[in-house]
Amino acid sequence: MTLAAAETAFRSVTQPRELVTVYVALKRFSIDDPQAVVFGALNGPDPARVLLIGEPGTGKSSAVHSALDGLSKMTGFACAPVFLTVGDVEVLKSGGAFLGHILQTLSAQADDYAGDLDAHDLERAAASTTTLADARVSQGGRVTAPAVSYTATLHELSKAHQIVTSQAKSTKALGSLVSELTERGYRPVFIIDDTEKFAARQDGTIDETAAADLFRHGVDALCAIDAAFDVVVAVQPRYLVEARVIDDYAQRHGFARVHVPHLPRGVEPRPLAEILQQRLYVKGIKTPLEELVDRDALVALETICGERAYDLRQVLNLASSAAVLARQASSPSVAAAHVFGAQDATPER
Amino acid sequence: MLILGEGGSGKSTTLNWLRHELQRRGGRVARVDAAAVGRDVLELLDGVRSELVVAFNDDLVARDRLTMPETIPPDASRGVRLVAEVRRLRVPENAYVLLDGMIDRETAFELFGRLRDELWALNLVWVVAARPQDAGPLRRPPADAFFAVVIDLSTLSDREVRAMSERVLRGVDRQTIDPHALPTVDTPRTVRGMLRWLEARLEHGQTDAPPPAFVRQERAARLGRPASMLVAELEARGEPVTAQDVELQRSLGWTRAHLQRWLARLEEEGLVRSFPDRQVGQGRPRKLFELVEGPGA
Repeated sequence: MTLAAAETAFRSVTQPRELVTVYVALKRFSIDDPQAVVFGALNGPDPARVLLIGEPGTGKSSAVHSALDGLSKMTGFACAPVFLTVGDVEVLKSGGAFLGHILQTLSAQADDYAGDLDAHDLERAAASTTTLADARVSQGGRVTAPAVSYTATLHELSKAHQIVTSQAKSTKALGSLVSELTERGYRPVFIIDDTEKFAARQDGTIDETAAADLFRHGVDALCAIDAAFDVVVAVQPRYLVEARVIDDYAQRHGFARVHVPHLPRGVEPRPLAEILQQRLYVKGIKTPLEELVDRDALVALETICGERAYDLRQVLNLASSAAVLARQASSPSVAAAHVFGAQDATPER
Repeated sequence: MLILGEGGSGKSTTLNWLRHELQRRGGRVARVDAAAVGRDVLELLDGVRSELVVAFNDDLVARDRLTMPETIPPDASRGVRLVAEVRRLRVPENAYVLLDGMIDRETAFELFGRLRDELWALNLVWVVAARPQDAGPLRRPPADAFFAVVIDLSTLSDREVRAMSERVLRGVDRQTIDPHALPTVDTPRTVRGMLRWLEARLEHGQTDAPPPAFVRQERAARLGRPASMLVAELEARGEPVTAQDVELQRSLGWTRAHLQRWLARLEEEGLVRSFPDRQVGQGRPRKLFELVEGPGA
């Protein structure tokens, strides 16, 4: 039964809330923790500009969500994240198109953007009304928090601002919206976490133009808005190599480069073991990891992790598949043979 | 989860079984035939939403939310519209989407690549079935990360072929037919068909019956739709053809070069053989192609 539960526990997670709960702070392993750096930047007095650089599956999204979660836990800090999905490269053709896309997105998705945050903060606020300084009890006795008001504010403001396409008008409209949000006590954070999604072609190569246009047109126009807000852009290192213009614009707008490091090997506690253990803990499995995963299996997973460019997502899924094989073989724990068996069972690309 | 398999390998059967099993355990399941609902992502998302409405039929709140009219601005860009349509799939509890026949590469790339993180944020477990030749965009970044598990149904092991023959053949046939001696027909559909054909041949004492056309068609289907079309044409004509055959080019809607390329491809795969046309007068003889007959064809 425990191995069966471990299969689920080890499997990579994708939902923002799950990413936060399973996150293991890298500073425990004496390496720079991107989550802490992003948190520090967003918590600073000046508008933050962060370029988060990391290979796929190494934890860029986890670092961002964990930093935002940390901020939302701070009393009186009304962080207002806006995750931007490009979806269609057409919106990168000009600064006006990109800002128009943001306005359209806010207008269409005003409820959704704060949706997750609301639920999250509501739960926390309901548990303790002192968690958030602004938390207040409404007449009906229900707890509301800044994030809840933020939803209404964003909805109201985005509907009020006309959808425009020229850059000058979009800049003005988005600037007014952001300023009004700021005046009402919110700190908008624009997060673009999908460079890879829109700039990768079907054949696996990079659409350099699309990657460059995000900065040349999109980020450039966004940063030109005269208002206080933060911007976080996540990219893979290969984009910086193949679309050098990204670096130029990042420097021009004062983006701090934050690298997501590889998991170190040969250190105690073993990072991968800690990560797997945390996942067991979150799922309520009290069995120690060493009783479920043999040391040889852990070494095999660490080796594969290195071979796969430290793509933790792949390695976690492999650990899960290995647990399936172990259970099917009626083994009490995952052995190295199960790890290699799971690796062999994955069809070649 | 991504299920890979050739035509006849059991993808749809697996999805049907999954639907039955998940529903038996109280799961909410939306089974969608990707090829039937349209090639555009927006149409596909609409098809998924329709099936989710059925799956949540007894949950009024969820059903109302799923059927709520969209509120996006009429002049919204495609990017905004796509994200909005994905977010309309939000459901209050975990549900399963079983997507069969994912054949359009652009749709696959757009949905599981460009919109990957939006899909991730939903309470939906996706099981997608596709042929290996259609799955390219699903196996490359960024869509590859979407699928935590990839299962290959393409090849049956000897043990599985034997198990199938045990089920399909009657006692007397089992002793007569050696499953190991079967030609390369490695999907359940073709193994089953071949066993049935052998059974019938034994029953009627036929020893020189032509190999079943379905084996050839299955093999052609694995090479892609053009190969299937060409084999079907050759079957229908029942006589050798040349790449210069204008009528054949017209009925396929192909250029001569394209026809030439696919005839060569079929020859490489052993589905057709070529020989010189001796009946032409002077000059270099044209190449004639005909379907290969025999158990391995």
